[in-house]
Amino acid sequence: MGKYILKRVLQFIPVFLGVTLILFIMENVVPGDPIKLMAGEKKLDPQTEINLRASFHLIETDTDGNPIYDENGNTIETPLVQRYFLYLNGLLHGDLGVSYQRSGQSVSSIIAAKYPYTVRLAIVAIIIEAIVGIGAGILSAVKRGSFWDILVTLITSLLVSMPAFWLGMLLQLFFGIQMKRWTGGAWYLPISGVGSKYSEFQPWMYYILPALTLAAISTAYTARIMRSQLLEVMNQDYIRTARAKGLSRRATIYHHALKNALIPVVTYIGMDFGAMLSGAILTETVFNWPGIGYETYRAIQSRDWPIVLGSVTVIVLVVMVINLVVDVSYAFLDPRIRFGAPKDQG
Amino acid sequence: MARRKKALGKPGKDLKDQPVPEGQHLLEVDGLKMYFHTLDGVVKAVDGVSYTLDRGETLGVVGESGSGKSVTQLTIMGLVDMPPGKIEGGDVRYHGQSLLNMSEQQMQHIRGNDIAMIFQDPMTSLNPVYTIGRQLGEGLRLHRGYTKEQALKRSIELLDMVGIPNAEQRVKDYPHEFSGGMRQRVMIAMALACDPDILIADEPTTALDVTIQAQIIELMQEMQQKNGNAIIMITHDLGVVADVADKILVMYAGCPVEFGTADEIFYESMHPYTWGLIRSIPDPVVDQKRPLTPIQGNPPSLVNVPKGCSFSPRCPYATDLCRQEKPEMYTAPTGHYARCHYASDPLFVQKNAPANSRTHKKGGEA
Amino acid sequence: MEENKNNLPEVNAISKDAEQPEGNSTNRDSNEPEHSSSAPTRTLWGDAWRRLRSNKLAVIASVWLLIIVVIALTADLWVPQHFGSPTETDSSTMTSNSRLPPSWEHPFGTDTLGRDVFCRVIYGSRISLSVGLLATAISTVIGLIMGALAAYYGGIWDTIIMRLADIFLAFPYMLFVIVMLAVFGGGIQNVFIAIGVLGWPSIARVFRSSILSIKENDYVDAARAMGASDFRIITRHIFPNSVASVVVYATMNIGGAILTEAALSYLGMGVTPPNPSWGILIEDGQQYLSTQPWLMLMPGIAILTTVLAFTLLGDGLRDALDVKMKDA
Repeated sequence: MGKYILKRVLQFIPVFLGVTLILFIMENVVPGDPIKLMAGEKKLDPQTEINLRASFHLIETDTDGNPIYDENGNTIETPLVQRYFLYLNGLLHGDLGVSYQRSGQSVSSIIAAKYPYTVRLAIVAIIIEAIVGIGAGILSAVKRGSFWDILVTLITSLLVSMPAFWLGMLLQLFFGIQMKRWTGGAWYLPISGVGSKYSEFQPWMYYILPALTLAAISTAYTARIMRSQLLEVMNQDYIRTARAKGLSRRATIYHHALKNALIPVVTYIGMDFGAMLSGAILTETVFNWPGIGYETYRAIQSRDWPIVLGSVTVIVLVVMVINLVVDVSYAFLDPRIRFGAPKDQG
Repeated sequence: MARRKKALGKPGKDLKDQPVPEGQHLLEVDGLKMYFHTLDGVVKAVDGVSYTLDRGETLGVVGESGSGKSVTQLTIMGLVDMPPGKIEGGDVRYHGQSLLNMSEQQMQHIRGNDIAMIFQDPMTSLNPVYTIGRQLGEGLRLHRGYTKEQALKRSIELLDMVGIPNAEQRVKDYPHEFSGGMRQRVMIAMALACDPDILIADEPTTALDVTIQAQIIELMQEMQQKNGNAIIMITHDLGVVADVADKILVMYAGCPVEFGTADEIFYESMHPYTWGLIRSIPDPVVDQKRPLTPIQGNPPSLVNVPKGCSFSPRCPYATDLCRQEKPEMYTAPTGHYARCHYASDPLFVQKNAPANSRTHKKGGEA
Repeated sequence: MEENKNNLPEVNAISKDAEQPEGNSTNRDSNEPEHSSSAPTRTLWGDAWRRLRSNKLAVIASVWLLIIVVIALTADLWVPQHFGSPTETDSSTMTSNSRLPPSWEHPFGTDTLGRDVFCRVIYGSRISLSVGLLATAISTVIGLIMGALAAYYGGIWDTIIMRLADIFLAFPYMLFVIVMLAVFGGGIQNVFIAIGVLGWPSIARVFRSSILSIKENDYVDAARAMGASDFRIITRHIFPNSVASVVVYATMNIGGAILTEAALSYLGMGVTPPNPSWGILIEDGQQYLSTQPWLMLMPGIAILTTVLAFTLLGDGLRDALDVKMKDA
């Protein structure tokens, strides 16, 4: 198994480099000169501009950070390759640059402030997804063809066919607005923002609708995967063996089939966690949830590229690490990978 | 691991521990009929199978794929899904008690405990995510209420018994760490764990190398000597049953076509299909080139069973009578029966039986 | 009966379900002799077509899709006369017609600028369908090529292509699309290029693994032993079988592309107003959630039914094309 882990980690490296390269290229393909974008309407005097360029490593500097001039008195643009390495270097040290629009604030600090919200929402959502998804999947597989199975299949088909943000709005409409009307303001859920000591509701109540929205579609997929995996496993020979030993249907499903069927499902949920951590831009926008997705979106609107690139970088790295962890944990779950080939012949 | 339920039954109350009632056989299958009701039609998978089995005997069930040989035993074990399957008639008596009338709970107690079954493909018959020890011990904990430690101890004994070296270490291994032959041994150990008095083996050697085949069969015979259990050996290979079977049941298209002692089947058979099977065994001594003699044609679809005798389309001796009417069972005084219109005709048998058949030499005595 | 074009031995085997109801053993297929039967010759696609036809959900889905396509194509002929223009506003009636509830004249009501929502939804279908189909077409073509190259040449090419796929897949899909559009600008063209380009890795993977597993199959060896050339093997044996899985995947992808386009328009990164993309319609309606919910509901239902139809169709195709399936 050590070999398996090593292989996976080794594969991680070229992908990491490739991803950072693409991110870097994207940053530099962005139309418009970053300094001018930052300045906006203001006209910068040349020296300030040069200093700014130097601080962003857009022009060559000496060890003190002073710009270097060539024989004509012009600044020299840092070659792209060098800037890539500077960028990588910065990455490894946690330096993602400085925001264009919010003067002085480092991108890292902005991200550090917002990411926790996303993470918390993702945790709640993933718990919902695991419990409901696996449960529904088992139910519909075990009672295949019955009313429950049809119900679950119907609901999951609907859920995977609707836009997530629209689902969020539906929940807002129903639980926030309509419920309020029907119960005369007595019982309804908050639909916007995240709560604090001063808000109308308990803070945890603010999680409900956004987490449901975030989880809903993934839960549908989980249920489908669980169902199909369980059905496939239930057709396997070793299930027949278990029955021949005298186990009841129930026991064979829960002790034999489930353990096998869960492996891919758990893997999927793990990867999904990574996906949720990638900011859930849509959910956060609908519910005004101050997480990294919302932040990135606002940054795009205001053309604040360092934030955009910074947050994308962080997100991508987080996702990659989670996928790696999930991959490796697969080795633990499946004994066939954990231990190798037959120890004998005959 | 989940808590084990209380053992389903107590030792001593098991059917297998009770004596077989007077005049009954250990296992008696009596005109068993089981059909599948599918969208494509009614599949007559088991169409009137009868045989008897006594303690310590080995019954060989022989037939082509699709002949119903496996489905019959699965029906006896109650392992066939009852929609779409349905018992259409007949009975199965074990120690005099009807298995078909038992509740699912009672059957669960019988499976693995009184009657055990092993299957064709050892590579896929074991759960890959549990250790061998756990799987071996499962039956013991279920039927006898063993604790984990007791089950482990017994599992090691069992592995030893079936000839797996280094049993104490290997009991903690996973199935994929065993080779095919070893896995089949484990399957046998698992089946015999609770000391059943009938072991049903569904093509246990088909998926194995020839050299391993012999070992497995030997092992089964050894176990039979030791434990005194009966064996039902299902196979398509007459060669496999030649050495081990006391009785042989030949099946075709869901019906039994001939049943008798091994001796009777090999040397005094009465049915053209059996003759075809015997003839198709390649002659090991080949000093001149000779074509093989297979049985022409293919088995019929069980949804559209031919009118008349189901073997008639392929039978070289078929007459119009054969094609029109289903043959009755002809039973010789010894209990040897064959389902053919002409089985009762000694001249027919004498004329057409295979070269090694005694009927040739005896000249007419069937 | 149509000529038996694809003589795939595995595929031509008659359904075993009837004769082998004991179904659990996986070895059964190789032990089975051909059962004599009077069924007509069957091909993969002929079989699939028949099975698809009997799948009621898939049929309903296809009919619905057909209706949507026809409406979308013929919209110009009948919509503007009865419901006005989807994009232009009439300043004279703008305020008086603003945000009317559904009625006979305006089945889905009107939006803030007095435009008939039904009309906009119908024109929106054009955008969604075209993006869905074009984007999926792009990703399918790229995916097929890459997958085929990787599987056929193997070795270093396989590694490179698969690594490339991994890199693309490492990016969270939505985020990547959004950033791409942020960098290159919005507009419908960029939208389906972005979606298309980011969709190739999964198709390539599916195609490649399908090819590889088929290559291992004995009937390929058998064909080769009979003297079939590489070309013949690829076109007659490998391709028809692998393409089946790609067809299913691509159909499902169309639904996904439509959803993505809606999300992008909602965020303001895709199609620009006044174009009536369904995503934009939802975004428009969001502000009036409490007062005129139909503004948000109708386009959403349109998306839901369209994508659902593609999903059901894809499900049906998968069931129909999977020869070894045991109605799971």
